[in-house]
Amino acid sequence: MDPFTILPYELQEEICSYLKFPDIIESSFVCKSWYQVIGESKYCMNRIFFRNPLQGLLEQIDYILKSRRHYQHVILFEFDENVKKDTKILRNMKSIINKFSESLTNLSISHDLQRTSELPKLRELDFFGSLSHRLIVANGLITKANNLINFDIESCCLGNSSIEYLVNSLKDNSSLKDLKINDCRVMNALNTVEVKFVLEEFHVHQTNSFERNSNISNFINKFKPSLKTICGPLTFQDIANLMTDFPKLLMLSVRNELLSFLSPGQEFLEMQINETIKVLSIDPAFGDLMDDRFYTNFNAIISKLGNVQLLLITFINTRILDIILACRSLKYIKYFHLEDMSIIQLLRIGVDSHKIFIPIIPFWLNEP
Amino acid sequence: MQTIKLQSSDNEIFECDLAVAKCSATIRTMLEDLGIDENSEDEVVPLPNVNSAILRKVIQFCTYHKDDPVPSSTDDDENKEKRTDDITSWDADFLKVDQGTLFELILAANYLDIRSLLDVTCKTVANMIKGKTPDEIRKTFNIKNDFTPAEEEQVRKENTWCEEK
Repeated sequence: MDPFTILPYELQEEICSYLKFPDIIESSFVCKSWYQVIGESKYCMNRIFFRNPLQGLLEQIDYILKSRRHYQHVILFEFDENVKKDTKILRNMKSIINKFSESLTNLSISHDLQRTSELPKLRELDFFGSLSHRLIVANGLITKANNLINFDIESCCLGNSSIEYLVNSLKDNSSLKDLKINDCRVMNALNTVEVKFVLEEFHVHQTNSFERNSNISNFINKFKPSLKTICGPLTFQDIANLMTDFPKLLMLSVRNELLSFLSPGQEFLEMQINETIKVLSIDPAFGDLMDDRFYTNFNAIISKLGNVQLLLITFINTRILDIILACRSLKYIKYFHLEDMSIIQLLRIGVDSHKIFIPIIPFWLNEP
Repeated sequence: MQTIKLQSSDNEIFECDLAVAKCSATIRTMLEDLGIDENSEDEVVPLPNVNSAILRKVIQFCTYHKDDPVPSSTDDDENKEKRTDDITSWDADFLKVDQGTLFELILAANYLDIRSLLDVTCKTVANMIKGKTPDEIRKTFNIKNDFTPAEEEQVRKENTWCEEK
């Protein structure tokens, strides 16, 4: 007889609390009762992200809806804009949320999930993709997520009309701690008054990301008259100045044209990187940079990355490999859209595969 | 040295040091709340959920650990990753028992509310699971795989969509 069956739930949970992720996964495969114990264990389910299959959601949906696990963390992501608009996919995404709504605490979505059902106990909500519709969705979702602590708006086209949704959605969330607004590149992006209002209103200065071409640069200028840049896009020199003005800044998110082929890259080389930086995000837009003239100060700059623990990259080139090697305290690499050859490159320079965190598994990695 | 009598579910009487018995929060509560006279030689504390074989082991454990400092738990402790590689050699030897006894010790530790015994027994079971394949776990605990092929496919599919948080 399975000895576990003589133990009450709280003792089964006690034993589960000593298991790590791989053991949790293996244990759930032992027999029906273990699958149930693991699936209902708050501890175990808190250690797991459920991510929708990136391919073949329609074919897999029956499996997902038959699940008896009480997932707490769910990520629903879709790259393909055409697939995103597929009403069947959308309906299935909603079904998944409904399925796990009783246990759900953290949800990350890339879809327009309007009129989504109740989301009790939601602690965290991340949005990916275009924001103009997200805010409408957010307004409904956040109302139900009373204890929301993190609102992450990324890669968005933040329209003027969206500001009222943002404000209305967030103003009653007194527990909100972090707000990230990146990539406001469209003509109708927030104006400086609006951005200033949002950041002042919600006192979210703990984790802010600044991006080239963002109107946030204008806001920064308003707040920090000492900055030289006026009305133009945020340059890397602005970031360097910010690092001086915010010496305790722990996260630096640098996007576009850093080490890229189309931009001179010189700005990066002129950056004064604080040695306190623990998180570095590099998101170059194009190509490799092989021109020696850009590397005059490169080694001096990357020598200051010794405290970086988390590196976010979308791209591998020889310079980034050099940066990785320079990050001596590196614990994790998060990467998006890397090709399998890039992963091989990482492994070749001795990066421990356990340190490579894959937030979005590229399609080709999903193949058997 | 003050002693106390404990009665197992199969009516065996164990006389042990009061300090040893008080390793159990349940016994402490019984003595305090039920007004059992610690000084009376006739008073017997009934423990109807623990048989004599297990009670003997529990007394052995508590006798060895009676002078251990009481660990204080904080929020930080709760957030810490729980280790299973810190079992002392005495405890490891003590727990070299058959699985039935091990699981009964877990139940007894829970009933008697002896935190240190509960921790070490649960860690021992966790160590029996860690690093094993499902089939190895089944063999370890003599468990039958009762999944139908369709159910097995369900779990396999689900597991591919799970990632570590």
